[in-house]
Amino acid sequence: MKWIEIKLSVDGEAAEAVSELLQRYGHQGVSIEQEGIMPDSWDEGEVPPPEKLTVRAYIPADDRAEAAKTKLETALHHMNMMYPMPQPQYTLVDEQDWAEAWKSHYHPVRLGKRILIRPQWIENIDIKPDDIVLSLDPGMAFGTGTHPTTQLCLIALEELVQPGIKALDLGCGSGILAFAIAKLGASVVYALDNDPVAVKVTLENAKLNQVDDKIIAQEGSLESLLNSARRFDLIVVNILARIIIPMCEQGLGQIVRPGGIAIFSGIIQDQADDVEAALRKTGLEPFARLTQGDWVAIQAKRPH
Amino acid sequence: MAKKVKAIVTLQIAAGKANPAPPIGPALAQHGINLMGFCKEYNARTSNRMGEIVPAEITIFQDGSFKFILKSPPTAFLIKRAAGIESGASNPKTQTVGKLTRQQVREIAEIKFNDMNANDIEAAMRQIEGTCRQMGVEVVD
Repeated sequence: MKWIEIKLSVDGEAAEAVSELLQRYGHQGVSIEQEGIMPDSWDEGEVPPPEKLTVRAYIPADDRAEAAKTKLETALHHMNMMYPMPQPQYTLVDEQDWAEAWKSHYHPVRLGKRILIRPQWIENIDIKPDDIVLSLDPGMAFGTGTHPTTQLCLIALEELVQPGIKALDLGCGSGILAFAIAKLGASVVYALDNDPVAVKVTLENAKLNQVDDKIIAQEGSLESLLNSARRFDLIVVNILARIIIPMCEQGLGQIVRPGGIAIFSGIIQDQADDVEAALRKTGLEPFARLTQGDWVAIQAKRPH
Repeated sequence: MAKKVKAIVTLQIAAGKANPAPPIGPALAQHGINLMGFCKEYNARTSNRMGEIVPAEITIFQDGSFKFILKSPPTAFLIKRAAGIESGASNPKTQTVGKLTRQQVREIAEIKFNDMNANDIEAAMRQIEGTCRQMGVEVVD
């Protein structure tokens, strides 16, 4: 079976009317995508209002398609008299198993010496006896293992985790870093996130990775840690520079035991000096940087 | 976790009926989104709004993870429901398919206000009236 994709690029004001029109003819509704989003440029909540939107709908490519196209173009012609409307673009699209197609974006990834990130559904994979295998089912929490910020943390963790330590993953997302720490030998790993969805996903993924006996996943923040007596041999904070710097001002360094290690990621190259300055102010001493593309991970220790 | 936005997609679909067919499949699969994960979650969250079009605004991050929020129904859906019509006019310049009172427009503006880029309720009402005109729905006092 084939589908005809109908696509129009319109401004925000026209999008409502065009969506209504396409909703009449399109199969099961419409999709509206913001144009002009630059890769790796904006954090959540910082994306500017869109100047243009792409409205898409789909009709089956059968003998009724031409009649539907004519009706649509006639309606657009009338709307054009009241407000400028672009011509629709048509593309023939093959029916796919979309429920499975998204998985083609994910492949096993090897990092460092032993770390292997495995999308959960991939069975035939060459696993060596001492591999640290992290199984992930990508979904509604950041940390699928494909982004440089996550990969830099994993590479650093492989070098720095010592057996038996007590560790913290602050802003745990999918929990991937906490699982790596557990599998590298930590005795207990606290996985905290202020998003309840992330906590739920972490608990599910912990079972999948058979580390649920070592992971304590909770909703929480730096503030809740500072109010508790918990101190850690190792912390990993993969958030963003603009969040890490205020955390340092809140006393982030205090949750690391003297002699302990901290890893910070989610930092763009030109923010690294500012983050290091903030770390020094909270009693942490940066000692190494790892880079991948524009991203930097900073390793620091708390002096004895 | 570091979250950089890759795409923002709004799906205008029927509550409780998300499935991998178009437009959902092609819109989300191209960004590597866990399609069944989205459909399951959307259907669960909208099960109490069956019969409505409930838009989901999905923010997709650079690593393929995502989150979504449910929005108020599309303006056009609310106009059609208030005017008691099935669809807008095919030629809105010459054809009037229904009428709304200014009070009804205000009620729609109040439902939509949080999702609109409008400074005050009057500005929101003007946008709704614009959509009415483009649908062939007359606004009367």
